[in-house]
Amino acid sequence: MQSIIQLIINGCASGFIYFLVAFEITIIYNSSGLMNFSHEKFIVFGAYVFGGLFVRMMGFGHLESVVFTLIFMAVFGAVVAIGIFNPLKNLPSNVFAIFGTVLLSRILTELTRIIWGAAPFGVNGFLTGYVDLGSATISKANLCIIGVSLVFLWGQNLFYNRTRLGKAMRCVNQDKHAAALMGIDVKKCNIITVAMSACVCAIIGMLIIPLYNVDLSMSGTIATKGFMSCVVGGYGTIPGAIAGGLFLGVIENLYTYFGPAIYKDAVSFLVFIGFLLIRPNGILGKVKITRS
Amino acid sequence: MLEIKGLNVFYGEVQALHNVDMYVGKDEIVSIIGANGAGKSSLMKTIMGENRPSSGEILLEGKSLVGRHTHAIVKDRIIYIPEGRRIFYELSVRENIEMGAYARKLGARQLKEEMEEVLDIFPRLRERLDQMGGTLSGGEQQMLAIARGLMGDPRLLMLDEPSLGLAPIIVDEVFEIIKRIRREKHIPVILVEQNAYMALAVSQRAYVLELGRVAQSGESSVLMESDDVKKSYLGG
Repeated sequence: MQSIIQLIINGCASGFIYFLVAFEITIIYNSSGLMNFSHEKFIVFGAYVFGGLFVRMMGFGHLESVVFTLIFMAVFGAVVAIGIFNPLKNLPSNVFAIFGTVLLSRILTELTRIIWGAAPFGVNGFLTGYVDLGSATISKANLCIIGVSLVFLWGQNLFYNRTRLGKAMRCVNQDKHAAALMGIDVKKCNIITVAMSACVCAIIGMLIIPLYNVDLSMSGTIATKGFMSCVVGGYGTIPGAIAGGLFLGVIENLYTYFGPAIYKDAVSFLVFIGFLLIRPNGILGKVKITRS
Repeated sequence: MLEIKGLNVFYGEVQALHNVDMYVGKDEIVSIIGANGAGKSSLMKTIMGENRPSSGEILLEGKSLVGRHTHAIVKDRIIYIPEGRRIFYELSVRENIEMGAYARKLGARQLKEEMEEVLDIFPRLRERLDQMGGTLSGGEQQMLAIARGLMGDPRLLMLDEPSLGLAPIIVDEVFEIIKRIRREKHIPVILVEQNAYMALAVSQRAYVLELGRVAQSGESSVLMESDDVKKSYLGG
């Protein structure tokens, strides 16, 4: 019984990470119709900027480093949007922009390797340790993931429903032409979206440092499962990202109660394939209403 | 108010507009009629900065609009209600109306007051404020699109095919509202229509576009009697 509660809480923690990945994919997809194939490397890069640049090289405290990393990644995202996404998006086919992101991911990998070396490293004392919750023992990292994600959920809801910019972004997602006719600067919205997405990637990167260390391949499975969460929940919607992420996270962790943990990832993939075959619109099954 | 001089627009090799001249005075409804592909929407899109003319001028009270971004032109309060209404399906009716005032950065209170004013013209929308835009009927969507446009406090309002796909009784209602807007708010209106009879009936002046050229122009009442227009657009 004890371990079931523990598994569910840990499942929620992985689920929320998948949700964050799904979110970061979804907002870019919604605003520009592109898949950012370098998102995995954004996550890695965010972690390196935090652990490698701000904590190790410049010696800032953890909290300051988090803030600086977010600012750094926002600027980085904006530069990527202005330099790669926007110019390539105007070409006749999406393939150019998609390849642009694939190449960017190679560049980022090599850049990180040149600057910080190939050997993984940890960040001492960052979200380490365990908390005893009576019937379950949960790592601080997982609690932090859940806490940050809940705050994040609340914040993004507020942003998209209450703020001027958030509403403008929802308009851009639905109909770029009509959005421009409302006086919305669609290009600017796209740039801000990519910057936001890069920030979310950095958050993910920092949150998983205690689990995987700062490593060039730290986000491989997570990035894949985040994409799967999009599909399982319902592609292109934020509620879908939440549903898909939590569903996958909890299922694969609960599975470890019944079977050997090494097949955990396989369970996720089976669920994913099952959804593709049986319910390709995802759990929420919401088909986006679009203009005919 | 709005003056267009010698406008030429190309889509690649194809010329969509040939040397179009046009003007819209203060406080008048001007209609643009013509068949499919005559260049009516191309003209609207060029005014809104979506197409770049290869030559010619578009002047709003003497200030050129050519080469500016759509969102910047909207900030000058030229409001275009596009063909097919283009309301935001996944925003509530209230949010749709609010978005119309996006470029004006109103405070919450003023936004509410202006929204009440607009809703007085469209009582049917008031009942549906919290519904999603996509759940409205075609006629209601057209009303919403006009309401959203009015929230931009237009200096010039351009309507593209407002009667498209609507039942005749709703079409009458839409044209009533267009007349009322000019009467009460004194906003000059450009009305693009395939429904030539309706367009000529509500407008003071009209331009007839054919294959990207202004074929005829003049007082609507005179054009309504012209043989060419009768034969081509009014069914004999």
